[in-house]
Amino acid sequence: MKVVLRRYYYFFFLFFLWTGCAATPYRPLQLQNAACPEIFPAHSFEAVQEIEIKSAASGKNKFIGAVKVDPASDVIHAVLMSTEGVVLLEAELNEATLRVISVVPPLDKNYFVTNLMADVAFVMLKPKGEPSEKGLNEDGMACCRWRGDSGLLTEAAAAKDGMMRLRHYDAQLRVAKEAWYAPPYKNNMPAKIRMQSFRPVKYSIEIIPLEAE
Amino acid sequence: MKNILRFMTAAFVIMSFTNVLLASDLEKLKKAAADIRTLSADFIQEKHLKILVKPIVSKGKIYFKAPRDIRWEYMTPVKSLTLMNMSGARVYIWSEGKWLLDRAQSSARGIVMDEINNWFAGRFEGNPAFEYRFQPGPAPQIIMTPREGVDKFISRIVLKLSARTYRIASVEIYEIAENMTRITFRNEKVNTDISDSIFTKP
Repeated sequence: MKVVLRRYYYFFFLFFLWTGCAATPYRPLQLQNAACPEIFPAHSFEAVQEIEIKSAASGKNKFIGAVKVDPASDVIHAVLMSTEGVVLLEAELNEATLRVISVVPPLDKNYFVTNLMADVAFVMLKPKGEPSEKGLNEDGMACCRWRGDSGLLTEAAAAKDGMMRLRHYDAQLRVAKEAWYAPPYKNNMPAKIRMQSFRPVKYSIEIIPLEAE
Repeated sequence: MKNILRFMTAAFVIMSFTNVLLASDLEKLKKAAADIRTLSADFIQEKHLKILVKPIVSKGKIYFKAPRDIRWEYMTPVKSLTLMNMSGARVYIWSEGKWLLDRAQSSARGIVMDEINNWFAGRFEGNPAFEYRFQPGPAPQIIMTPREGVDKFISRIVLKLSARTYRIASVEIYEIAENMTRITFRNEKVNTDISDSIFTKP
């Protein structure tokens, strides 16, 4: 009996762990002319953040990040530092053009800078242009979608308790990346941002703003 | 011709005078360093980034025990800790209410901590990573210029010394990308008893 109970326990434990980690799939919107959730600051801003990156390959790593974002011109200048303030990489993303100002090995390998700047742009920049879809999602919350190049779909949705959610769906409409923005907002920055990448590589980034202007 | 001779004589006198000062002040520095058995201090670190209007200010505490033990701890805004002792360097990050060993950073940090150890011990000669120049005067300082390799990231390091004690009062690190770090030491306590566990336990 005990063995059976233990098996059930492990089954439910793994099930809840799996469902807790998995993102809900793509579902069509109930289209209507709803206002889009305002996740992104409309004006230029700079911020300093505590960043924790978790992955199966490298475990848990902590950094300090600084960003200067100009949404009008789609320019992001980002600096990633060790917790002691040593600059590990500095780069500028101007629309699709990446300029690496400095990078310390081994971060110069395996497209780390390109992928990190793509994550910063995903989390900090509003998708370009007008949304292709506006409406309510399966939870009845305001949701907008932008269809980008190569079939990539970006979705911004309001969620319960003042949370906001941002998603990237790949060409097969699978969730590739998801970011949750937790209130309260101060100087247009949420108290916490948690980004999770599901594919092609699994990792998560937790961002806690320290200062924002 | 007379003018050239006068200029050369004056230059020779100034250079000789500077050399005398340089040698004696360097001796003072080495003597001050040799007298340190233990040292503890608070520090304030200002990180000036070109993209930010205001610097990022961090605060922490440093402990040193000759010949090699160092505890370098950041309290705010992000807690982190480096312990250096005879068995090497260990880096810890503060996560979910406890210290977590960061193995990836620990090995590289040993090199940095050895460099800091050299500064506290007044050892500047024979450094493979930096050339140094001593600048005497009322605000004496050591200017360290990186050799090949480090010069891709750092343009110079300036150690500012206290004119009274000849101990390091602040460190300025100038990076290639126009960013700068200034670490200022305060509330120094020299040769007090510091438990060995400070350097071994997070």
